[in-house]
Amino acid sequence: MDVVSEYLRRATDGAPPSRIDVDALIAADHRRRRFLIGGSAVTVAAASLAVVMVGHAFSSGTAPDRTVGGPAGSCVAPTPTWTEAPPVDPSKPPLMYPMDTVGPSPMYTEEPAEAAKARLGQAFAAALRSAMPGVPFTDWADPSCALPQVITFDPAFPYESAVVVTDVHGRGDIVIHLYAAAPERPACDDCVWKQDLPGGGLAYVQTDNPGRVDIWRPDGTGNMLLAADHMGDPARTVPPATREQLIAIGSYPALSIFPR
Amino acid sequence: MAADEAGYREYVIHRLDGFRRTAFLLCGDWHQADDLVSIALVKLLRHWRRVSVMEQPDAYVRRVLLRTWLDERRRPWRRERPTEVVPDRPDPARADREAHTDVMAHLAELPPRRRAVLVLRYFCDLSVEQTAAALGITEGTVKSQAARALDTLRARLVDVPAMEE
Repeated sequence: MDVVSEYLRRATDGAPPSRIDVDALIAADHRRRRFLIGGSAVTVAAASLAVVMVGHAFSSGTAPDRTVGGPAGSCVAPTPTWTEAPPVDPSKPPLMYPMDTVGPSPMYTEEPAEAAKARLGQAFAAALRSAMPGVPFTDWADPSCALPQVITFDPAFPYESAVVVTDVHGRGDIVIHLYAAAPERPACDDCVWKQDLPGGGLAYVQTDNPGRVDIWRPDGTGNMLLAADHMGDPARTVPPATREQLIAIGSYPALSIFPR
Repeated sequence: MAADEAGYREYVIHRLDGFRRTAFLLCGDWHQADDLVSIALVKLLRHWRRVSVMEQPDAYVRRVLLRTWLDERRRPWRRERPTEVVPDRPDPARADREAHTDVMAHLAELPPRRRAVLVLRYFCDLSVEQTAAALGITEGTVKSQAARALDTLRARLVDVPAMEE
């Protein structure tokens, strides 16, 4: 089949210069790793900002309202367009929700990024309230904001958000990445743990990080959640969220990049 | 990690051109090819420690490339749009003259997996067994898909010989 091979080789002649910058890929991965390493830091800059803002908030006597997560101050987002799920009863596991089984919609590309960020921030807050009733939380970088702020990260992980929760053990971080997952349910050959979810979803763990759970949703959303101590707080001895709670958050129906 | 990165960088720099060309033959667009390769390289970087000790790291990258491309094609905004008028088929005599420039158009007529089989077998020079492993299909399916792909090309490109089993 030398003729076919020759055709194919010639078809790739005249390739334009590559847009791929290997060093940029490595640098981006460094940023991602810094973000993912427990709760010790999102980035040095973000951590510094948070510390400064926490200091400012408390020193000025304007500590954030930690009674319950929700819209507050200048970070109010539009009212959710979905019906919020009732809080789950932690005494009745499993904590999880049935998910949409409809495939991805064009909303992922058609929805303006700012609208998606506002919507997903509301959904993340609702998921937290439902899965962790009574546990106060604030945005990770802006403790004066009780609504999680969603930021874009890179093409592989379009949206990410993080909150600081406060419970009897101290402060802790819960981080979520939302991305377009493969349409097929993960084979999970190398998973160290997995659990089927209602509606055909899957929760799984591929690392030895006990505070991480990945959720594959049949609607095409992948949610990766991390629970960790807040910026390496040595006083914190238990994760701020159980695996079941992370699953409940990650499977929250509205927390999808493909909204119905 | 620095040593890992140096190894990764060296591997990628030496293989990048081949990965880009493979991705281009799969998707038919250089910009999208760069996107596909970027995604594959990011995944490779995250698993480099494990992949670098594999016998054939290229196979891992090709598998990620293929999976990413097939996944992307399933996205609604990537789907082909129906048209009212069927495009003209090329005149066989003319196709012979313009074969090299038209080969991408002919590839585009192939279903995704058939196209992938063709690229893996005749551009990447993989064996039937390796192609089957890369695509997660049986060797028999590889043979049948390759034969059909060649039939299609033969109808367009006059000097493509019949497949030998």
